Amino acid sequence: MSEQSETPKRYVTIYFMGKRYKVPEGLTILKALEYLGYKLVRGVGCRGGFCGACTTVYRKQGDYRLYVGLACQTPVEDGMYLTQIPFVPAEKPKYDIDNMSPSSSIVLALFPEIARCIACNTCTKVCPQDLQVMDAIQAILRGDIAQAARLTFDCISCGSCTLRCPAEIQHFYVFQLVRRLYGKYILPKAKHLENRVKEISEGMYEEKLNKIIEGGPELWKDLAEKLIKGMEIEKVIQE
Amino acid sequence: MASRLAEKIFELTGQDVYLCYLCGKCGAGCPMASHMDLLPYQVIHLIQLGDENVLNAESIWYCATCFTCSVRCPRNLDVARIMEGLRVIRLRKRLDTIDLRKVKDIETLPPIALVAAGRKFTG
Amino acid sequence: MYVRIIYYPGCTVKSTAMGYEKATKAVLEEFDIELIEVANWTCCGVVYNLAIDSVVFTVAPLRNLIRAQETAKIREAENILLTICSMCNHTLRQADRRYRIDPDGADRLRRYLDDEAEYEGKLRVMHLLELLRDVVGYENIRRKVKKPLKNVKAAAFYGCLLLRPREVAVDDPEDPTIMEDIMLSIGIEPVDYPDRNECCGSYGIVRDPESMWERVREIAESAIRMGADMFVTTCPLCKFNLEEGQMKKSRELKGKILPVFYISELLAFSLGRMDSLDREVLEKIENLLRGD
Repeated sequence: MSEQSETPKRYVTIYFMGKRYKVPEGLTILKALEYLGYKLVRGVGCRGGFCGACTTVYRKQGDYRLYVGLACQTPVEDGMYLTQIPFVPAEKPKYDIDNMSPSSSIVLALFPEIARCIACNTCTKVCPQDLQVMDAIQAILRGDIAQAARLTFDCISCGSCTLRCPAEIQHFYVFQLVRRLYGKYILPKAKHLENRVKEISEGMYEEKLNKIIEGGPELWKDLAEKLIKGMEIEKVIQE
Repeated sequence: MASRLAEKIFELTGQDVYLCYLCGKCGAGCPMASHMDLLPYQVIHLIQLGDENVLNAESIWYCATCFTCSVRCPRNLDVARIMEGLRVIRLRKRLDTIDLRKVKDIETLPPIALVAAGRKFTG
Repeated sequence: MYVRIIYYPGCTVKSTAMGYEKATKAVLEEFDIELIEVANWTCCGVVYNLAIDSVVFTVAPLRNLIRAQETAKIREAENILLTICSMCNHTLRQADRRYRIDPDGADRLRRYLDDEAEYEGKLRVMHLLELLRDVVGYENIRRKVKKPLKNVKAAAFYGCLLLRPREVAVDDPEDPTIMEDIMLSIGIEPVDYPDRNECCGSYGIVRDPESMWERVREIAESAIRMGADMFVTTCPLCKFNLEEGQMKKSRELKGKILPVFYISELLAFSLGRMDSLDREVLEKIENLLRGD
């Protein structure tokens, strides 16, 4: 490579889809692939460990175990044997969230394959977010969708579990449904938010907002300076 | 010479179908007998003869794994296990007997029914 | 004598058969037995798979046995695992038995389940009926009866997996008496009819409901012929099939439909624990006692 830094870099060997490469140590898999000149169009997204697009499956040298990680978060290791899974096929069944009751039987009726779960725990082992995936599915079978929703809060829908499940369950769609039911029907409503939205839509701040809008750049600069100096926003709006 | 099917069944179930002497007790006690195209001992006889058409019988799917046959067999053959063996041969080839997504009135069924059906009718 | 034992509910109990659990807990409370639910239990995976070359279907029930074992240690309970569902009982015991008699399979399972503690095999899986017979005792039940269920003729329906195969049965497969004995101790007159240990159709209702309703019609007819007023069972699937089947075949049954109760519900009533019964169940029992 043409770029040379001051200190000698250490390189590791990785195999991307079977082809052997040398990449600098310390890079994430994503950065390493781009270092190698690959232009990623699929299998890349937020680069921040949140969108679930860069699911990568890999093996380590001398280790038969299969690992799954996000390319944007996982650093390269010597002897890594990897490939990307840019898309996991799954079908979201149609449902009307406004007309459902928050019970596990609804979830089971939409996804009856959940009943095939053999509690093998493969999904949990493969989750890049370290979630208790099997426990979440089992919570649904136990009738406790609130627990299932809580356990899968950090799910990024990468699909690794769905791909490896022997019972062919489509976990991330199940969890999406469960979280939606939880949020809509089980969690207590934020009364103060409802009130606030009502206040605002009834025009509580209309006048003040219009004054600011009409004030022009001079007024805005003045207000901004006051805020930067640390004045409380309420006071600023008063003036 | 054991038939190929009988050998496969032995591998899967540890049961030697050639012990059966067709007394008919299993068929007599089977609660699902009236719905079956082949009674249990007829199924076993076909395995003895190596007739692989037995894998297409409706009987193996009407079997409710209630073990009445196994408990009554005078030669201590686990007949229910043999039926399971035939099911397993098909299910391992992904020849599912039901489509879980197409079950009628699925919301009325208790989870236990879906779990059991998933285990016995899908691979 | 206060006893703590581990309890495995099963998926259906927690969703459509909560009344069964409530009544059971109340009944056992009367005998100073406290139930500690298994931590993080999973669906046991009825019905136990009978192929001997694979162990994958033993993973789910074995995982529960291990978690039950660990719960017993942490919560300082006896090494007894109570199940109230006949099918769960069957599956857990088959898995336990498999682990004990197949060392090669057990080894494979141990290696695979490396994310759990090791199964020591000291857990005893007990069905509710056995607990009542062996730990509580008929005499003790009889002594605590406050409202005997007189003038009620009940058909005990055992179903299949509770009694078969012999290695995991709670009573003799051909001539069981355990449910009748318990019913006698609370004043019920048990009815003897030929189909009491017959299969209700089980999971067949998912594939061909019509045939299963036929089965239930036969079972119901034989019970009615012998004078039964109700069915008593210990399996949520049997209850569902018996109720659904009778309803669907009500014309052939000439409108006579036998109500189906869980054994704990009747026990709870006779022991004076009406607080643990759903209003519907309570009403049904009271109607029967009145002779409606």
